[in-house]
Amino acid sequence: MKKILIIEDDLLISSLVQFRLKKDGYDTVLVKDGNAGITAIDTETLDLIITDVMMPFKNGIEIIHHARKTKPEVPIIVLSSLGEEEKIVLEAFNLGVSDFIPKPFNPNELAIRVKRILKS
Amino acid sequence: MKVKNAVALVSLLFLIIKTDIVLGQDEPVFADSVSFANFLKSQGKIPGLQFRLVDSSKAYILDSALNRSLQSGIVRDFATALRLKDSVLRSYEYDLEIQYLIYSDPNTFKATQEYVSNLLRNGDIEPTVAGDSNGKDLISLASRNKYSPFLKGTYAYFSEIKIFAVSLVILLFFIFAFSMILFMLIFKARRNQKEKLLVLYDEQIVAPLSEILFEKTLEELESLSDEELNGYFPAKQLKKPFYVQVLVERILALNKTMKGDFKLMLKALYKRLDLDKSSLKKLKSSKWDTVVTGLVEVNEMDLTEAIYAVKQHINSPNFYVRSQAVATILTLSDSVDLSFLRDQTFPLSRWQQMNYLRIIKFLHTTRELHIEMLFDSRNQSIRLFGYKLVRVIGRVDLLETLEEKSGSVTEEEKIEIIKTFEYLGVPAHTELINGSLKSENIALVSVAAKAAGAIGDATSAKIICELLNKAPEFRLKMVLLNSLQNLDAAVYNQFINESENPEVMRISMHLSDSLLQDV
Amino acid sequence: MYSFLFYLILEILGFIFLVLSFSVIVLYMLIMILSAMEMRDHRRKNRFADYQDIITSPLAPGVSILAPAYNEGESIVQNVKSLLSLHYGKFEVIVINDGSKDETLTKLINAFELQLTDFAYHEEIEAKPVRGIYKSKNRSYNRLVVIDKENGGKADALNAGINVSSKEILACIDVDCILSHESITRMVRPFMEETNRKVIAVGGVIGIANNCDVVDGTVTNYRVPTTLLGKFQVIEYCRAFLMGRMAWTRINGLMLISGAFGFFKRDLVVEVGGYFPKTVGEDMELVVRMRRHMEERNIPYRVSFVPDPLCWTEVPESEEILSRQRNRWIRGTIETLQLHKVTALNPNYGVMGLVSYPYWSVFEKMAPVLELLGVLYTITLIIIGDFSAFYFIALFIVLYLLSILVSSFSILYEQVSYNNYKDKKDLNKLIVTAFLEPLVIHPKIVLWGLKGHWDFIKGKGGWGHMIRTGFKKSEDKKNIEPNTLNS
Repeated sequence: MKKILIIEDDLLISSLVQFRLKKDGYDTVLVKDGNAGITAIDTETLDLIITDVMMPFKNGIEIIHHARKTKPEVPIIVLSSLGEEEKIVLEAFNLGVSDFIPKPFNPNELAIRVKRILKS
Repeated sequence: MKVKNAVALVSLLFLIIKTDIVLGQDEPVFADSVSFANFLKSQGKIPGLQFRLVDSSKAYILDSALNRSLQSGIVRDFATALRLKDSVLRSYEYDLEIQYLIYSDPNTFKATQEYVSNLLRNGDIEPTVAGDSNGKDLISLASRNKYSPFLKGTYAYFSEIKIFAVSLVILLFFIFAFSMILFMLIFKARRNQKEKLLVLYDEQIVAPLSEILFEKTLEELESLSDEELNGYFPAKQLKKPFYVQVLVERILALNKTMKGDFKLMLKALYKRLDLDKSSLKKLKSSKWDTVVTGLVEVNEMDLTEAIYAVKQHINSPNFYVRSQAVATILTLSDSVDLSFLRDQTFPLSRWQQMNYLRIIKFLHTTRELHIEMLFDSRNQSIRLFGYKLVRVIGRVDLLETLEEKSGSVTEEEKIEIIKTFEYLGVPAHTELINGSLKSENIALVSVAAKAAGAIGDATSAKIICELLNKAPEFRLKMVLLNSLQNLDAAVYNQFINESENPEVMRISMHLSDSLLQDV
Repeated sequence: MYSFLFYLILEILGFIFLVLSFSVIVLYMLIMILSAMEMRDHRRKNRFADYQDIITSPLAPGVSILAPAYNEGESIVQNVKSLLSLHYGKFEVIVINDGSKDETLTKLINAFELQLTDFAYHEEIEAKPVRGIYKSKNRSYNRLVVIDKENGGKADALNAGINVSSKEILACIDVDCILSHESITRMVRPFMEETNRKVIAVGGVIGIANNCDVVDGTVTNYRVPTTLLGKFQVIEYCRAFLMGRMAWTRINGLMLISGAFGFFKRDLVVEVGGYFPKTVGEDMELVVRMRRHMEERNIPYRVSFVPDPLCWTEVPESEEILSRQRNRWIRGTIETLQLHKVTALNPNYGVMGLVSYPYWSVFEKMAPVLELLGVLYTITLIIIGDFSAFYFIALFIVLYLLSILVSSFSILYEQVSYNNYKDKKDLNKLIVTAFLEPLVIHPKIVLWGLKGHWDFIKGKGGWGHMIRTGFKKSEDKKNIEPNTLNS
């Protein structure tokens, strides 16, 4: 079973995403801040990371940096609110994230993209 | 900072310790000789006053030894003298007299009374009451003594009031402070409890929400029976106001982050749970924050049936109610008739403008908006907002209307209109700019000059040169030179070269420094 | 006859102390109530505010951040970097090197690839000569402007910064302050909410960063400082910011915005002539002068205050530095009040003249003197034997409890509104401090305050005469400046 790390400070959103991904048969790990995210990246065997950008303690960019450095093979999907600066989006893509999904988003669409990324 | 609560501490401290001071007058201190004798008995030693027993009438033939001992037997307090007198009477049966010595000089009883009275009046001695038998403390005794106060009445009276007032204030303060602290403690406990409940409810809500959202279709959701619904959200819980509040907040938050079908699902669920009714009820609340919460809910969940109720609030004296009501109407109404905005009487703050702008910007892509309506508002801040809208949304088609208006508007409005022209970069309308360049209002001239740099013409350049020759204020000079440079580099260079003004030289260097562009 | 006079004076003093104590108690009740009301309103309003919008909105005002730096070489680069990363759309960071004797400037030049520019510096407000204005070649440091000038003190440096600034709002800060990312958006909001009354200035809360964890320019984990002096200042700051200033804001009587974190309307600051460099209380003096300016023109205005935790600073924990700070504060207060004595009890100056000024004169400026008088009074009573030990002890206990009540109230207040100190141990430490404060620390504070009074009387700083004369009008500052600067 493939394992997906979800880093998102809003518990409700992450739970919904978790619910949706479980339906597709994925195992998920939920964490709600940047520091816990970094720990999870270091300790878990992961197939995919879904992360928010604006979060307590460490922002998404730092997490992407960390994941790229320690686990370059794990693809990353960034889930982020609109209205955040373009700079961040660009920076995220420059760091080599696989996909960028702006909020508001459709969980079904997210599930499709997850499936596509994990197949390839 | 230095809010010094301890001023209270120390100053209060020193205030009541000092209890009472009585200043006597030349009135008799002792009502009669009996009271004086009683005073002497209880007072003990008095400075300068001594007593001895003498046989002044020579009624008895004293043996010489006793006489000698009496002569030297000076005592310092009256009570002892009395005791001595008694014991002599008992053992020798001599009834001797007490002689009063003031600074070793024998004196009469009357003179002694006068002397002691004086001491008391001057406060050189304080009356002490032996045994304190009546149970009164020093202060009340002092204020009850027979001396009449120096300032008739006020001091004695005041001293009691003072004690009373201070104890009352302290008591009140304590009651107040303790109740405040008690209130805070209760408040904090309740908040902690709420926080715990929030986590609990969050967990309770997540599962049924996910199931409904991912496993049911919209039709299925709408046709859920009450029992089925209560299977997801227990009726018992739905009776708890805080549970409902958390549920509403979560649905609203999800509605913000979700897209497409999910939005419809959430709205259907909201109505199925009758949450829309509670939103409508909030609009009628007397608390402003409840009303705003209701407005936000109406806005987010598209409760169009509430429009009439929302309209009641658009001229509310409360800033937040008013702003949210206007924002709600803007999002909800299909027709987007801006006349209600035009008729607003309160001045529009920038905060409100920012919020309305965001909504209008969004609406603009789907509906036709009659922004020009705002130009006719009687409220200047609304008119100004209208001009800003033209530039932010990019309604070039309205520029003509604006130019027609510009002849008869205030200078503040002219500034905003010129900014709009400059922003949209339409070079046709220079009359307004060139006219404004000649204004007395420096702010207007400065804005016009800046605009002239982008959309001015040859006439503008000419006016700018004229203005520059009148030695304007530094900041304006800089704007003028910058515009001139943009308008006509040749004229600018000529002006710089001819000018000997050191300020002009510095500005020209500034303007040509690449690092300082668009600071 | 002498004893009569003597007792009369004692009696009058007793009466004065009575009135004072009475008013202090009433004032404290009022302050508690008013601040609670203001805090409740603020929290309600915050619920409906979307701060994200301000960052990008074209209607948001521009902000010039002014950060004077004197011998800050150690930390300047890191501090400026965190200033540049604040979340806001239109802002510039102006760092003013106030003739530092260390490497402040060189470090800035190297770290940010600065280059000397031909900036046309115009002295709208008089300040010490500017040696050069620098900007970065690197576009990503586009927002940064560095001014190098001759040393003239903090107020003078700020004035030079104002001359260079180009945005609508000035944010005057201490360069070593830690600012939260959202500090600008939050502080700008009162300016944007202005409707009928002009918002002339906005003050913010200063938090104590000693012993706290700081990540990305935000305090993430709060711990109370280790020393008693540090802990005392936590309580003191709670009292001052959460209770005092909230209450003053409620009645629109706020007279002091901390120099470490205050936002001002630029046009108005320039109109009144900027900071007054001849006082050590330049932050308070500017606010008072701006208020006077508005009152003298009869323009409705307000001075606003944002109680959100946005700015943190390290407070001195050594007695020596703290004593100097307190000495300066009291002198700043005396000087400001002297300069603006015309407003005292003058109904033309509204709340400021009738309420704030008298309050500051009696309960801030004169506090140490009154307390000294109180001590002398007690000693006198003991000497003449007109002193009751029973009353003394009873009252002492009552008043000691009173002080503790106020302190614990302010700690609770922090708990209810922010709940930053989550650890129970921290809370206990603060409560112990509240018990010790009146006995251990307060006497020192009084002593330092008295020293401040003494230094003011001696004319420390050399501006005694002018300050004693005072400003007849709020504009007077501009008129006296030219003659005084060169001296």
